[in-house]
Amino acid sequence: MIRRVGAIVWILAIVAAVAYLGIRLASGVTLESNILALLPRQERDASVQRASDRLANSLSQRFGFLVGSRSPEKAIAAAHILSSALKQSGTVTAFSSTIDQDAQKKMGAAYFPYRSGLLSEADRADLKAGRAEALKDRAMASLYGVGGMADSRLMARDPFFLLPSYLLSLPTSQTRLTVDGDVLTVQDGGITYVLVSGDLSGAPYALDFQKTFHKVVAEAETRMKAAAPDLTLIRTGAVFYAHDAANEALDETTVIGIASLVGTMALILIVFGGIRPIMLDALAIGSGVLCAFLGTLLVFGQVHVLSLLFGVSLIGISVDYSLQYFCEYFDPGAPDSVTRLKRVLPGLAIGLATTLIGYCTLLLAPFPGLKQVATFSVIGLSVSCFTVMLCYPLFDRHRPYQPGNRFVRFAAKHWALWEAKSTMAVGLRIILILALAAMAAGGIAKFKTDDDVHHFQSLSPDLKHQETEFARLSGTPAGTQFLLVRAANEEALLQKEERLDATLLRLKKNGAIADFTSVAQYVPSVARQSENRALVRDRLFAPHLAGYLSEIGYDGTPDYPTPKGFLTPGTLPNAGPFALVKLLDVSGAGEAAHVLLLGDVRDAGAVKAAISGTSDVRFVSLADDWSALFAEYRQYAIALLALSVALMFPLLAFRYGLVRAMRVLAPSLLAVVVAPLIATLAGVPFTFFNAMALILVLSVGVDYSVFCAETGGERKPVTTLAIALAALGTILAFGMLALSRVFAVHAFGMTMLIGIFIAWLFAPAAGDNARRK
Amino acid sequence: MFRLPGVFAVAIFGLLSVAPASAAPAAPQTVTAGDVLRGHFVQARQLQGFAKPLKSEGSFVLAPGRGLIWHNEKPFDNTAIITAGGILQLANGREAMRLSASKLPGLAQLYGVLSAALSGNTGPLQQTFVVTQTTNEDGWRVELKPLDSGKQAMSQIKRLVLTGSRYVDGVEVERTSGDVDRITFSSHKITKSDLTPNEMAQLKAAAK
Repeated sequence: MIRRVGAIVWILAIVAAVAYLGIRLASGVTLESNILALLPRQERDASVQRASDRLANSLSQRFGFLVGSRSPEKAIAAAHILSSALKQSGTVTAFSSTIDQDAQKKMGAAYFPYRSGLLSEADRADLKAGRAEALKDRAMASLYGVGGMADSRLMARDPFFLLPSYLLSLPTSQTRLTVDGDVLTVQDGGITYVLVSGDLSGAPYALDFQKTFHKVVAEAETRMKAAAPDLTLIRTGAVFYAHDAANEALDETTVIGIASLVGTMALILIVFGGIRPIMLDALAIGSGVLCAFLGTLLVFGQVHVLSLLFGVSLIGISVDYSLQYFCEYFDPGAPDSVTRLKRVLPGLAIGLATTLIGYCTLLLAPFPGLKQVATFSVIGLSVSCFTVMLCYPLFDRHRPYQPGNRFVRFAAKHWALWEAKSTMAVGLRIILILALAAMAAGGIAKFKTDDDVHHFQSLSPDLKHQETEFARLSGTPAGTQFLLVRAANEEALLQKEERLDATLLRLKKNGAIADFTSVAQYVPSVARQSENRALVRDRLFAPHLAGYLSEIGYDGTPDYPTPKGFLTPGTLPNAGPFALVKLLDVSGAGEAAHVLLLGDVRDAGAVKAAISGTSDVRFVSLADDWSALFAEYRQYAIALLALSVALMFPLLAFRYGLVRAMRVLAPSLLAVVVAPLIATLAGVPFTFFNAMALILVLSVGVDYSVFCAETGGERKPVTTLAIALAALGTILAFGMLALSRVFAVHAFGMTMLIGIFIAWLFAPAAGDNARRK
Repeated sequence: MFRLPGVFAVAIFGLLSVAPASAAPAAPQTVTAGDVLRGHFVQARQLQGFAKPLKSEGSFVLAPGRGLIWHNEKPFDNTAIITAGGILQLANGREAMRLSASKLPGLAQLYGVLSAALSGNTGPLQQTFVVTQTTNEDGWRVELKPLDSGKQAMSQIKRLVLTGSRYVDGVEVERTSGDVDRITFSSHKITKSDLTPNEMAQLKAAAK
């Protein structure tokens, strides 16, 4: 009676949870797809973290298209279709590809009053070296030159044309593009490409936004093709990768989910026959996965697609509990549901406990993503297991099978392999162990680790190719490398950047970097501005102005004032190129900090060496930092693996004693050591994701040994059948992951596949042949 | 604030070679790719605030598809080489200034308009200018007024007047600032690609 009440309460609770999940899903759920969101945020240096975040964020918001056609007019028309479609859709906040005349005017207006303190690096060098004549000659050349490079209005306010020279010395981001009317274009191989680029208004990793953006682009593309039939569209931006990755992950989740569900059902149907076991199985799996989804949503507020992907694979593990139960059908000694449950209960309890230990260690990892996977799994597995324990006795009316079932007979051979004393069995055992040892040895020779975030992220070779083309055509180096420069206040910071100029110019000359962009280039320090004013006054105007004016026959008096104040970053409008200046400012409380962008770093070592003597200057490479993090956490995962073993052992020792506990652990430990080596032979380097898979191999593998250790005598074949089915189910789920195009998922799947197979193969070795329960 | 009047350069560049043929020509003498047009120029810039016009003279070389070399000989020696890649200025044979096309609005239009003009098609010019053409027994006169003076490259230009017979003989540029530039061309000569190695090197250096 108590049992019946418990089952009903449990079912009601699950129905309530599923109903609530339905309500949550109906109101929309945020699915996160950024792999970097899985990473921990534990950079100790707050400024570096802020700078990295700001830059990574800003980079991920950017998108770029090159719209190409053999006809320049058609390319421009097509680009116009695209930009107006994007503008109308509201998915874009700002275009960086249109020449914003208003922003240019604002920029000019901000600089103009302070022009006497603004000198290009070359002009400064000329004045300091006493080559003022060169500036005079250049001014003359402008006045007399073709097409009149200088006019009277400029002459009256800047007689040596120093401000234009300064403006032209400012760094440009797209070096190969030319200004063509109000668009930026580049010609390559007879095709004219028009740039359409800007910033997104939404988060590129939010699935809803991706979908909208993608739809707008696809619709625009159709109309562009109508306008320019030979259209070439090259795209770049995190949003395209994210969309591709999310689609891939969702597709895979669906495929893997369905395949493993169908496969598992088919297994059960073939082995157990009848519809009732399938219904019961679906109840266990369904309650587990749905409650896990809800639990994750409640805890984290959103679900990462990778958690979903790994979570769905749970189907393969949660089915183990029902399989253990169903296999009791083959045991004539367990004629009814209560006896069956009693028989499997110790195994289920210990199995669940060891698996939960494995997943709970994942909870200890400071990875937000792993916490999600762990939460998802802990909830899902517990719910499935409790469903088996509480509900199965209530619904199970199955009569026991007659002994000698062909599946049972076949499964019995698995046990015999490890138990039989025959020469053949012993020989097979030796061959198996030798083969495994040989493969492991081969793997050791080739073993290598891989932590490069590029390998984990880059999914679509087509998109990668487009990105490379974009960078080549536009001359925009895709830079995620920068210097973080810090000082007590803004002025000191600008001066520090100016002192760095010489170093950076040398690096540029040596080819270590292609270019650099600093705030100080746009806003010289006050010290530099007053120095410039003095240089212009004492070395140019005082000795040369009168002679120059009379030489060219100028009657008036040029107005070249020296204002009281100075140009400071705070006085700049947030428009045009100055928006970049604001982006580079990452100052925090009590400290001024700027990002100094490095374009196309070809020799990071040279950059590091060059700044090594400078205090408060740090070289930051986002990709390298992420890679380092993956390396750190690969080691972390190994430590978690050891911790799992350490936590499981007392539990096993408590039930089986020290020696047998070691035997129970041995097959899984063997799998954990050998699987990565064999995976190496299959061309999968050892990554953080393989290490995570090993934790699961351990916790799932130990289940098999536990089930074997819990069984004995005539029930041995039944148990081997159960673990064979369990392993098959798990492999059905994770074997599919090995087929994934996502490298991380592929690595995870391969490791699981090999590890689970080994753990299953050796599991009966953990059984005690003499013991009879 | 500071703009290089690229459109103006486009106009001279393009129409240097657009000239109605015959005595009172109505069809342009075309300089096709591979040909080279050479000639002499005199430029007088009448700028506000200057007592007298700034006068310069020298020679020019136009190689369609490659660029224009503008060699000032008086009052001082200075060479400007204009290509699709940008402008390079040489003073006494040494690089004095270099501007890439990425910083120079209008320069990229140069070749589009140039090729259109060479083929006698004023269509592209009509996108930026109101074109008025008149003919008399001495030759022809083309007046160009910006269609949209709001465009950055246009905002300085008030009017362009081109005159000529077989070739363009004169260009007059009026600016909104009140400045007027007058360029007269003479001694035109079209030859089959006979660029000197030095000229080729200069064009190559500027296109870099």
